[in-house]
Amino acid sequence: MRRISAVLLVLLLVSFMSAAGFASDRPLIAFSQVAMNHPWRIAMTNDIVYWAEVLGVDLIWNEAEADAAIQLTKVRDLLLQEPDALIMSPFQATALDPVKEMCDEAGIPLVTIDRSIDSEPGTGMYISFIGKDNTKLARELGEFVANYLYETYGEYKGNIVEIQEAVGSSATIERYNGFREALEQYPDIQIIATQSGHGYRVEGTKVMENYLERFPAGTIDIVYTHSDEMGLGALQAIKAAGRTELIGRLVTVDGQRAAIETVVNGEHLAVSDYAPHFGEAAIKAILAYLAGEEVEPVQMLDSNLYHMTTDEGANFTRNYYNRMLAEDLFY
Amino acid sequence: MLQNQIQIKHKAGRSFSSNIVLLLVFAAVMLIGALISPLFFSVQNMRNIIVGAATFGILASGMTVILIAGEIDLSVGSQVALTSVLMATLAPISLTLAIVASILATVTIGILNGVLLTKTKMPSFVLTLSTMGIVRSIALVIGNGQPVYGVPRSYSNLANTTVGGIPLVAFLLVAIYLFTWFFLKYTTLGRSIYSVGSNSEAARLTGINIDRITVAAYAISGLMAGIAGLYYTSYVTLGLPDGAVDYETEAITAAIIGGASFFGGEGVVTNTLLGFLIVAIVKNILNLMGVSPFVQPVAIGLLIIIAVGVRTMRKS
Repeated sequence: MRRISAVLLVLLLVSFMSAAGFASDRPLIAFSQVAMNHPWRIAMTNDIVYWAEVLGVDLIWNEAEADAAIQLTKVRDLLLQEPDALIMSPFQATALDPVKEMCDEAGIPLVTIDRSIDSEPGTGMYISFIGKDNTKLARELGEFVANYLYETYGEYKGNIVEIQEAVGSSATIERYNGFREALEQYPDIQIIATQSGHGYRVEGTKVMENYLERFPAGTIDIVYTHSDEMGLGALQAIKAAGRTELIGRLVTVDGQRAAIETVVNGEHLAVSDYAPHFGEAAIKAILAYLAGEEVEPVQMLDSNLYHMTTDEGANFTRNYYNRMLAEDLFY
Repeated sequence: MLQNQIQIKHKAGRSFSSNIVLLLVFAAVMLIGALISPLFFSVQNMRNIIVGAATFGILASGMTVILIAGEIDLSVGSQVALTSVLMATLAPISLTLAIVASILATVTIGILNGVLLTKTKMPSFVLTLSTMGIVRSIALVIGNGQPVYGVPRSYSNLANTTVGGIPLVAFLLVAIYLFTWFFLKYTTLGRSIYSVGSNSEAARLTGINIDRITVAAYAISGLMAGIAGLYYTSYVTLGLPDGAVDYETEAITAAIIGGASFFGGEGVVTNTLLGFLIVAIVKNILNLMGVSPFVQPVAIGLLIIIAVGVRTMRKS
């Protein structure tokens, strides 16, 4: 019997570890995060928690262990608590599409961030999709690289090696295509190798080591990686191989502090930001909807390009980096 | 013979008191749920729990059979993913074909697991660790690493269908657990699995064909993985070659909380059902409370330690 009471006691303790119960008049917003397995995801959640506080709403959230089925289940858990709105960062467009129907039935407005679902935003209770435009940011990065090569060599020429994100993801395809769109008009700027680093730092290092063996010093002008993690990995490989001519020739996408820092200290040439800062736009869209205002069904947030090649760029980048330091932001 | 009977009686007595502990934990969990949130006992929440966790429940029944045989099957999560890909690929041709092909595929994988195990005598952990990767690769290759669309709406609606307010899948779960319970208790094959798991040498001496029993246990595990995959496909509405990762650990967790032993010969499938429900309810409560996802595994970890610890302490 004593053991059984111990069992009960432990369970009770566990249950009181977090005191439940919201009793405020503030709107209650639920957030379904697909996973917390990457700094980018953690930063996305932190950003939403931050803006919920700033904009005066109560927030409940959970995460779905990067699993479509679990996300469906956990969305149900959130909707059961009758929030005033649901923000979801879906695992996948089709698998999470039933959430739109759940929201329609429950009369709860839905905002998706980062990725959309199959249903058309602006129909039923699916009020808005807030994303970032990978094609556009990759195109801008490509243009920046072309101009940099022109400034450096006096003509539009150069060899680029590329390390891609996870094969087949929409982000990979868009970052691949957008970059090429910008370079199409310069026949002497060539992408001489492309390979997937799956988004991971270690893989970035491996692929870069391979490139460094294949292409001797002087044959690579720019290294383009689809994400900071791989960019930082590639930088390690470059330093380890002593290929100093490539220091300051890396361009990446994402915008974590570690990468911005390498821009400031000259190891990266540029970082295009794909920071997961959706909280402000998402919560403002919901508040507008709750106040009876019109909401844009699709909102594409702007991406910043961080570099030190102009005074303006350098100031902008330094200010942002200092803010990241002051507020201890990962992204 | 007499010795055997005594031993069996002793075992029955022990499993009876584990039953009580398990029921008490179940009651405690329900009580906590009721105290924590008025939403807990709502019909909708009860439905959500079953519909959300059913895949794990189906897998756990197969895993119990495997654990009783003294083995383990780590490949079931990959089999679920493979089923979903096969379903999504073949359903546009014919739904019946897709279902038959999926079940045939997973049962075949189960049989292959069993045959390889009995022929090579490798530890089942190592063997099924390998087949886990191989089956996952097959799913990824068929799906080309991408989600596969093609599950008809009529089929994906099944996961959310209710009969008299009760989710369809609840009836499926009851049927599966009744089947497994009956199989283990009342068929020669089922009882032989206990003998093989508790003492394979003794079982061999009494004339049981151990290899056949092991293969049969894995075939059942494959069958359950296939059925779980059919439900999973309906639930996620598409084929996900990279889905259902780590589902085998969910199944193992439910089975061991229910009292199945890693050393074989022990396990009662109705207790696995309780174990599965306890885990599903605890997760639901943590979600309703908004407990940080980083902390949630602590609760499940404690649950395993408590459930298994109480039993092993009693034994010693």
